[in-house]
Amino acid sequence: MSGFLTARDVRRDFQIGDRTLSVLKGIDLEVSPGEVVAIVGPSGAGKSTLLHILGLLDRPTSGVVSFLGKPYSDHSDAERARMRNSVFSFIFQFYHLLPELTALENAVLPKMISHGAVEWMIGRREARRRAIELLERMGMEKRLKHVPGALSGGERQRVAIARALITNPDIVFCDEPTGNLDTVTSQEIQDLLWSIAEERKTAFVMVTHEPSLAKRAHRVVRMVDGLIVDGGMTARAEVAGGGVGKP
Amino acid sequence: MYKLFLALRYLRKRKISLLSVLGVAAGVMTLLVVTSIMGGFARDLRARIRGMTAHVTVLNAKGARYRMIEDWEKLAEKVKSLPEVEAVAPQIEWPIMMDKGPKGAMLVGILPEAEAAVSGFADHLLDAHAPDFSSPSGKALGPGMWPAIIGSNVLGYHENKDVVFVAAGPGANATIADIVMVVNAKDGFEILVEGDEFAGKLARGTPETKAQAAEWIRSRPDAAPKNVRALLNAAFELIAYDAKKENRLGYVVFVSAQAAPGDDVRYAWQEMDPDQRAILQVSALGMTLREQGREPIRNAWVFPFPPGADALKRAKRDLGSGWVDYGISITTITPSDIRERSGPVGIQPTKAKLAIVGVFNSGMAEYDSQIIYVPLEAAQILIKECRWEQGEPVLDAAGHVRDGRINKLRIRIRDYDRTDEFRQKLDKLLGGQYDITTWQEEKSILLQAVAVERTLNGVILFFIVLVAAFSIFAILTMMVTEKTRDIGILRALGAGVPGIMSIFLAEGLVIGIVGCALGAGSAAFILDNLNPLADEVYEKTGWYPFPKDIYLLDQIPHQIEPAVWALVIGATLFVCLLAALFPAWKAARLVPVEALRYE
Repeated sequence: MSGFLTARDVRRDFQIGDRTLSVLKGIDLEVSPGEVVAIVGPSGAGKSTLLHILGLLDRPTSGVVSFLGKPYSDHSDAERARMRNSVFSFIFQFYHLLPELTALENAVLPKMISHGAVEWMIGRREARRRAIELLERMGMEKRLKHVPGALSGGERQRVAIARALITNPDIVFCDEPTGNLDTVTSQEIQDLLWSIAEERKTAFVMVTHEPSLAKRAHRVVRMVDGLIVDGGMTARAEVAGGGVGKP
Repeated sequence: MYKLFLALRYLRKRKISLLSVLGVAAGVMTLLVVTSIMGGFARDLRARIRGMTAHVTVLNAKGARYRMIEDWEKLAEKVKSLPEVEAVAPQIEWPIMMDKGPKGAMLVGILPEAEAAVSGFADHLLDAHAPDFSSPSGKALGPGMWPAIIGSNVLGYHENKDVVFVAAGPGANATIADIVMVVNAKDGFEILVEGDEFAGKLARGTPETKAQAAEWIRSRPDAAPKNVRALLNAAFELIAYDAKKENRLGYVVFVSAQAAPGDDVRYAWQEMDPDQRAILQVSALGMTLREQGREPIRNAWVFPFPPGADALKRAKRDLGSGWVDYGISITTITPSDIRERSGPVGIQPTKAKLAIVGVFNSGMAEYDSQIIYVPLEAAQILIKECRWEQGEPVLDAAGHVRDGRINKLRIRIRDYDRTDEFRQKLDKLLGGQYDITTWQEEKSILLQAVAVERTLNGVILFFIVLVAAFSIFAILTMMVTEKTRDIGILRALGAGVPGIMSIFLAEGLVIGIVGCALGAGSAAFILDNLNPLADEVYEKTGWYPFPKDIYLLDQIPHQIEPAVWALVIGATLFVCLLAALFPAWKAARLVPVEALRYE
């Protein structure tokens, strides 16, 4: 089996006191390259937990998640960190920018993390150029030197998007990317995400409550009570236009 | 790369980390200043021991003091054959009793030139006269009288004698001859005033007691009573002005043996300009600057306060020759008396008279209060260690003794740190017949005590650094809690566990490095300005951080040893790193998802 991103029978239990809470009860999911997948469902269905497990932020209690046919469990901690840095990216509901850094510094941070001191000396200029380019693309050219505290919610999320894209990831995981924004801003961010997905052919896996956002996805996965009730497996036909799935 | 970047950014945004930096800096500074001063003290001490003792000394076999070395010229030739030897000097050392006191002392017979080549003997003399026991006045000594150069403290002035200082003021037209001379004479005080303008203003007086002296000075109408301060019972000073009361011509400081070490007047003395003090020390020894044909002060106990080596050297350079024409009588039992236990009426002590022709001050109290140098032959005659017939020494045609013996052969070698090597070689050469000691052994217990104290001080002061390290620990632990979410973000962005740890370790290290830099910098500044700063402290607070009379040093010494500094800085950085270790480990242990959930 050589899927792009595959989850097989993924379970995740949480221990709360002497009670075991099963949040994921056997998830099977496939994502193709360049595919935009929206995960929808009521609160507490385990959407975010699934996202964290797919994105290497958490480990499943059982089951296998693999990327390009290689199960995550084969990876060392360092390898997992490297994948989070260069293959995956995250966009969070609460932006999660570092408050001490300016917009530009936040945006180049993943590059900084992947570079050693010497590499950074060489690659610094290029990384900054790319970050400025991305921020400008998002209309943030006047806000480069601002710290997150001086930015509005929408602006912060734009910085977070720039940060997510600077490493040219294969998959971007979004956890309610517009959940904390007003309608107008939410719409703007949605448009932005969508146009980026179109442009770059990057796969997106987004957890969302926004019907308008889900509607534009190539595929909608519906989750209830830790199980996928609809859309778990890739139907290649559904991949609209851009899908460059493996044969 | 992000690790150092973030560490620096976090520190810059947290003003409280400045507290840790200052703590580390204070600890490092104190440690470096104290160890450097103590190092300097040990170095000066060693230099002084080296200055007064020879590098290597050959003693008569196995420590029997009254056994002399016969034929020392032959032994000296043998020793000189070794390439390491720079100079050798014979010495005969014998304990005597001074009739005044009575008090014990050590009679040391030397060949002045040879002695000067072997030890720092010539450097410690208080007058510029060549150290050859000749009298600068050219006066011949009386019969049975030998010239002697005595330690500045041999007569024990600060134990049972009042000390008189005569001080010249900074007045432009004042010279030493214009100045008051105070002598604590047997029959009371005598205050002499000379000088063109000032002559006769303060007339002579001979009050009988100290209290009367103070009263007398206060009662003089021309002594401007408001300028006379009677300080305590033990000390007072008199400030004399010229006729127009514009220039301070001089002042008299009197400090008795009862004056406490912290007495103001003592400090007034210590505060004085070194050159000025040197003049006074010399004048107090009865030297006059102007050749006026005045009679030297007789029957007077006038001695300087223990002076600093620098002032003495300057005095020696600037002030021409001096002459203290004063005799002391001594009594001794000769080695041969002890050996033979004979004599018509058992053991009979020998008496002799010595004329003081010079004074030396080595700064080592033990030497300065003990040693009386006399010419070698004089010593050999005094203790009968030469050919002796019918109660008289046998002299040759040139008037020299025959078969003179010694009990010490002192050797100067090229490298004073390689005495052990040399000792082995010398012992082999001499066939193991002699005891051989080195300068390090001379005061080894004192040197060890200083070394131990220094180490102890270092350990104690390192606690300041430890306290600073605790503050690093506290601040970083706080920071980890505060930054839980950010750590989660960094993990999500691909920072590894070692990376997260490094951020906090780097913070500890940066605090350490900045603290060390600040501490070392201020230590270097303090050490560089040690004496002006100490004076400043004294001026502002009246407390003297380094009582010069206790340490017998004019200047606070210091020595900057790179190895010690490296050790202090290395240990500090290590401790800072150690303090950061736990917070860093705590940060690295955070589970990313939980950290992200943390709002």
